[in-house]
Amino acid sequence: MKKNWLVFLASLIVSFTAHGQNHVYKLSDFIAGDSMVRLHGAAASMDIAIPLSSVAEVQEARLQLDITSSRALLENRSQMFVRFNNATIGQIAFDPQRPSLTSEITIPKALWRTGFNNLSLSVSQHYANQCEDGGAPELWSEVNLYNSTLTVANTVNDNAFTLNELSGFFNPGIGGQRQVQLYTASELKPLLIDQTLPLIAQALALRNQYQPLKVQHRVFADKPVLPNQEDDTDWDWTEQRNRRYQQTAWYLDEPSDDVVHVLVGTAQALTAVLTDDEIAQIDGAYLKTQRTPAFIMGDRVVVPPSYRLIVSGTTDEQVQEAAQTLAVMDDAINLSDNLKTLSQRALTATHLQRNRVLVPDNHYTFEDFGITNANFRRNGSFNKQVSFRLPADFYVIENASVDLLLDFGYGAGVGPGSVMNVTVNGEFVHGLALDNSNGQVFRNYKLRVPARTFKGGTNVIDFDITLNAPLAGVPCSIVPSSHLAFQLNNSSALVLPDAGSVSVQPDLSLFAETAYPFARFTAASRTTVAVPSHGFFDSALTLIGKLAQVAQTPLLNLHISVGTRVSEEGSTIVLGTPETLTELEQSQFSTAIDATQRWPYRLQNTLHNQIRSLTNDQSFKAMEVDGDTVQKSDLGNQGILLAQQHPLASQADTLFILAAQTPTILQDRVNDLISLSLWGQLAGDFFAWKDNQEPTLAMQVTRKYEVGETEDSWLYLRLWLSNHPWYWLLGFIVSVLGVSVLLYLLLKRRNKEIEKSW
Amino acid sequence: MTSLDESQAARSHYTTLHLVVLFVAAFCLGFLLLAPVDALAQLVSSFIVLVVISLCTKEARHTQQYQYFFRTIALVLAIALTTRYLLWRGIYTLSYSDVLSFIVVWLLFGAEIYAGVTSVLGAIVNAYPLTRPLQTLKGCDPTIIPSVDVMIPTYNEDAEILEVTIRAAKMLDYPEDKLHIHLLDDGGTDEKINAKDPVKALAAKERRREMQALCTRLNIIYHTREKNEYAKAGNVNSAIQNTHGDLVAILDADHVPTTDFLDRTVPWMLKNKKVFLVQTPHFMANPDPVERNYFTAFSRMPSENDMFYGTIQKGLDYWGSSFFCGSAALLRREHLDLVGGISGESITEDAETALDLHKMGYESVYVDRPMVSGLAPETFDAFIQQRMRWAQGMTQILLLKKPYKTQGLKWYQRVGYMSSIMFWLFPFARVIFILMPLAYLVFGLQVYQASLLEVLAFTIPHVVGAYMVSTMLFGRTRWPLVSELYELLQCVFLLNALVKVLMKPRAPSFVVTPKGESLDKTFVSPLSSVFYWLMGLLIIALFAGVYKLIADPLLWELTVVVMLWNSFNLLLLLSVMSVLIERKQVRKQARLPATNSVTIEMENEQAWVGNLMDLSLGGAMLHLKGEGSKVSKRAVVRGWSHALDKYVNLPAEVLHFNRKKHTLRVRFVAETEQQQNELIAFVLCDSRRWLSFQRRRTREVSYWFGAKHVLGVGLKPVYLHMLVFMGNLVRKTGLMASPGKDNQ
Repeated sequence: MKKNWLVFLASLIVSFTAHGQNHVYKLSDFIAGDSMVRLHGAAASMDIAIPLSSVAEVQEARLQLDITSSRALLENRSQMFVRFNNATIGQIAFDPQRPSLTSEITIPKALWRTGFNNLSLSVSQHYANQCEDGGAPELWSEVNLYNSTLTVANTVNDNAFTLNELSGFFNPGIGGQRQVQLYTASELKPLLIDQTLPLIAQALALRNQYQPLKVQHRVFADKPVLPNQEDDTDWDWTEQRNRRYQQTAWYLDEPSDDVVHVLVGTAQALTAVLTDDEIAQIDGAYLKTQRTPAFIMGDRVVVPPSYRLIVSGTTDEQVQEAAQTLAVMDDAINLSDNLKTLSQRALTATHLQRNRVLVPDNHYTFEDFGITNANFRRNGSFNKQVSFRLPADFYVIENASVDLLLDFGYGAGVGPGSVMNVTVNGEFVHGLALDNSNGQVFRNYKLRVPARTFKGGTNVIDFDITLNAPLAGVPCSIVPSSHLAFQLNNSSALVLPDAGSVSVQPDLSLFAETAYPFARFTAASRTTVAVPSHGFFDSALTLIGKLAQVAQTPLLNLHISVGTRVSEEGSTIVLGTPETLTELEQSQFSTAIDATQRWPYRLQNTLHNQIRSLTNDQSFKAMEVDGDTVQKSDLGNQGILLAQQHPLASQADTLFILAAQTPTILQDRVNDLISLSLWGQLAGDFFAWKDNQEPTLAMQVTRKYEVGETEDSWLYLRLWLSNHPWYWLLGFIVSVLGVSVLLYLLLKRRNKEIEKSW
Repeated sequence: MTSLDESQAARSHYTTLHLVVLFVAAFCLGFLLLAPVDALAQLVSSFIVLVVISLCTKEARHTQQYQYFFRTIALVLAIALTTRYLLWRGIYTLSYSDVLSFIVVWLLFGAEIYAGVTSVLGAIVNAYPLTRPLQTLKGCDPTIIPSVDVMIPTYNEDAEILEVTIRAAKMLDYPEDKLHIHLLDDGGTDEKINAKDPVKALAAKERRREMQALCTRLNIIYHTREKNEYAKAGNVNSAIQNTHGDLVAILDADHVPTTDFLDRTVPWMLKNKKVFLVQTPHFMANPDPVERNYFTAFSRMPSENDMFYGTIQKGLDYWGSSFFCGSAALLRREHLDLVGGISGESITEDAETALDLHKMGYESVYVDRPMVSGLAPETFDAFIQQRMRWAQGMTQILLLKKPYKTQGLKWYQRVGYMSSIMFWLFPFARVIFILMPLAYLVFGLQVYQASLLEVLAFTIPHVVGAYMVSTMLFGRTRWPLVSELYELLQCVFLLNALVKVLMKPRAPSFVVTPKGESLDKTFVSPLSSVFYWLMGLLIIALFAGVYKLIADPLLWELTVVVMLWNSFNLLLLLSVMSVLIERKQVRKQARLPATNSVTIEMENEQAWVGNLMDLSLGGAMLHLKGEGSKVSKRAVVRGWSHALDKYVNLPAEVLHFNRKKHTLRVRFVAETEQQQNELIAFVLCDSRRWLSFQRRRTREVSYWFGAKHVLGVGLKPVYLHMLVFMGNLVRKTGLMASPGKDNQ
């Protein structure tokens, strides 16, 4: 009896005691842009937002900062203040004798909050005790964010696992899950492969937002597999123990007590892993979160406790419906641990994709896409970023323009150098000196920005505001800046011009940024990820999850097909190895991967071997390689991603080939590809890589072509003519010649008639 | 001579429908050229189109078999470029944020539409200028030669001017019994004689007596009438009722005909009974104010009306719509009677009469040979007065006669008339083009929504294409930027006149253009003040532009373009300032270049052979081939007169002999009637002289030469204006007793 109590206690401890795990993050992971931050002037600061998952509980956190400061700084008056969520956690004095330093600061556990935590690095820098030029060039210090680290030990704090906690487990912040396993029965129904599993992969990846999620597919045994008894020779499998064992996640390949795995299948398919009671509850499209118990055999934990998400139904269609619900639901409002989907409306691929972008020829206020009012006070430089998404195939005529109708104002008493600059996607579009000493308020301040400055995908409008206090006019005297104020209202609006849906393909950078052509935004036709066998499932699901993240919406039109036959309809990604790709007809391609490879080596071709981004490439030269080498070799450790015009599709579409030497290598390379560092570097139509740092080669090797909405023939014509101006010009000249000849003959005939009368 | 076919039937221009279709096709090409391609592709294609236009215009300027073919291609391409530009402007660039910018944007676009439409109409009119062969009456059956009444209407011109015209008219190479010369005096009418103002009445009586004496002395018929109704038209109509000639030739008081005037024009009346008008060019024997004050290139640069008479009338003639220009024309009485004589509803009675007869199906002929030499207005004031009458008159025709929908006119005649009439609406567009940069530079209104690339792709090709085609059509008769200068000079005054006529179409009355005014001093035109204001505004705009460049660097592209535009206007204005300084005219008559070989016989019976260098009724300059060591005070210039077909002896007084250069300046001193007639015949009645002079100055120059010629003026005129202004100020304040006019 005593022993049973001990087992029970041990089981509880295993179940509910979280083990702190140390994770080291580079601070540069939390910011976009340059990892070397320089802080200028007498006072400067920078903020770093550090996300924390809602299910993570920080046990311990240490911050290590790699700092270099100017040797001109005054020792006693120059220092860095490190604040975490506005609480000062460290003060680092700058020592001119020791300009480089590494400082370690502990972040108190109590300061951590779920969501975004603000790490603020502020400096106070002086080179003199009085009469100092606050903008002197010697007032600087810099923080190397790449070398600076944040070490966090965290545990999962969730005991009651309900549906709303899913966003905590699958979260881009610290403590979020970066890998998930989908378990199904060994018998794989077509609908499950085709749609349900891709949908679940997308649903979970979407919760991870931008953080990559590796998705693995596993199959559980038809009936519980009992563990080896090992030393527990006196262990006896009683009925009760059997039942308890069946309640555990005995089927897990790599049991872990702080990650969620997913069980997918119909009630009948899940009978091997669920209890009868649980099976009985499944009477429709069903989602359930569950904490499974541990199973301890003797003093050994045979099966640890786990978090389990069940996606089920009585039929395959219901399972798919449950997956759809999982993909679109807001976790926060589902506080129970299960739900049953009764019906769904307006849940089509096109509908979902269109909802994620601003629709051309419309008027949007900033409020419409979730932007709040921006208020800036005191002196300094401030930035307000307005980000929104346009359809990937956003295509506008040359002189179309986007109107920005800004509502903003600034208070009285601004000093010289106070300005507002506006950039769109990094391109400078407007500047305004804030030079009215009485302040000013603008309503519908109209900026007409050429629409070509905007692009398909995510667009960013930056409002950079600098507020300076007026000059005192007396040496060494500074006017306080507390009165300075600037406000940008979210009633400001964006008026988009009419646009077509046409895109120039192939373009891996557009694919990386928007998932185009798998996300179309106007008419989402069926697209496919083709795998030769089940061995490629993990790669396919991982990639599909990434595409959903990029598109920021579930791609209901994206399917998995198994086999070597490539779909003739819609855009397709073919995964494979040289052996499996032999089945694919690649003779028309400039690059081919099969038993032999055809490479368009750079020295065999010229201009084509450069990365050309669509925005800068206006030459529209026919890009077709004229040289290649056919060879037989091993792909080695690398992955290759190619994009070419689909040779079989009836309409212009793109065929992607993602290949590696073996399925295992392919999976590793896909995991590398979806990493934040490599995915953003996708470009051209030929992309090779062997790690997650940078590509080994990126090239543009095939001729470009247009993919668009055929119903808008005018825009399609425009694009075609822009790509082939010579045909048009030739046609024009021929027409001119024709008209001129006829006019000339008729004029001459009239002249002859007049002459006849003389 | 070709046979005089009297059975001329009405010609059926069955090709015209096809022509309409094809001109429409040329417009459609504009649509095609506006194909939906990006600005870069548009830029490339525009450049290629311009290259093709350039090559075609080059070929079209050489006389060769396919000259007109290349001309047609260039015109079609230019029309297409213009159409494309206007469509692009209309479809893509007209955006505005408030009522004010809406007005400004549409004003500018309206001006551009106007410019585009007139250039397209001009291209159609001048597509195929008609060159008629020279005709003569020699060898013609004398019995069929019609009788001609030569009518010389006069109002207030000097007897001296009239005498020259009458003597020349009397020397016309035409059967004497069929030629009747009439002086139509409107300055000595009963109404004038009985005027309430006794001074005016006395002057009118004196004028009538003087004119009657002149007519008696020269043996021509004097006409006057009761009332001065309908001005010149009424004067001619009154005389027509009292004459019976088959044909009526009308000559202005200062229009001296060459002897072959009737010989070259009457045959066209005999050839086709439907011809109601044979018009010839007005050749001006003196420079107009612009030519005299600014260019000082009267004998080297095509004159302002060379373009109209040398090119446009020929184009109109091709389309059967050359019109009556008030003088130097032959009209058929029978046809005039049908419309009650010269029409008088507008103050341009000439064009109106032609329109009335064209719409009845009668035809006109234009003979491109200068056979009448007249006088251009001497002062800027008179010049503006003349142009105001033309502009108002043509606008009256537009409003009262509506030639665009007049029944009876063929489509091409409508195009011809509309082209001629619409030209006179240029003041609206010109004023807008001058002031529009201010709207942007000073008031910050976005008048032109386009990127620099689009300006390069659409605007520049349209402007360059229009210029190239204009050079092809008018290059020989109008140098670059001269039109702009003339338009700028006139636009402000004409705008005022046009607004008046638009408000009250029947209000304007005929004002006789003052001619033969003397310019014995250099002075600033009294009409200058408006140009001072304009210049002030443009300078403000220029400074505002510089400020904008500094203050608003993001808009530098547009600012630079508009500043260039404004600077161009300013340069033109500087040139205009130079025109406004009325320069002293040394000679009474302008001397024109001449090349005749002559013999100089001195009193001492020595004679030298020489060549004329220049010539006028007053005198001549000769280059002697010998030493000429003993030059006497009196001499006789002996030369061959083509007009009289004999040698003439012109007594002259030697003014100066340059022994180094062997040049001799003489003044003619005709004493007898015969000598006077011979002098007039030698100097003014030889159409070959005018032709040669005209050919000498109608030549093409490069754009840069032309631009330098027009714009190369500097600040000197401003300085001169300031001198005069200061002088006036000093005079007004009584600081200086003498007048401050600048004598040069």
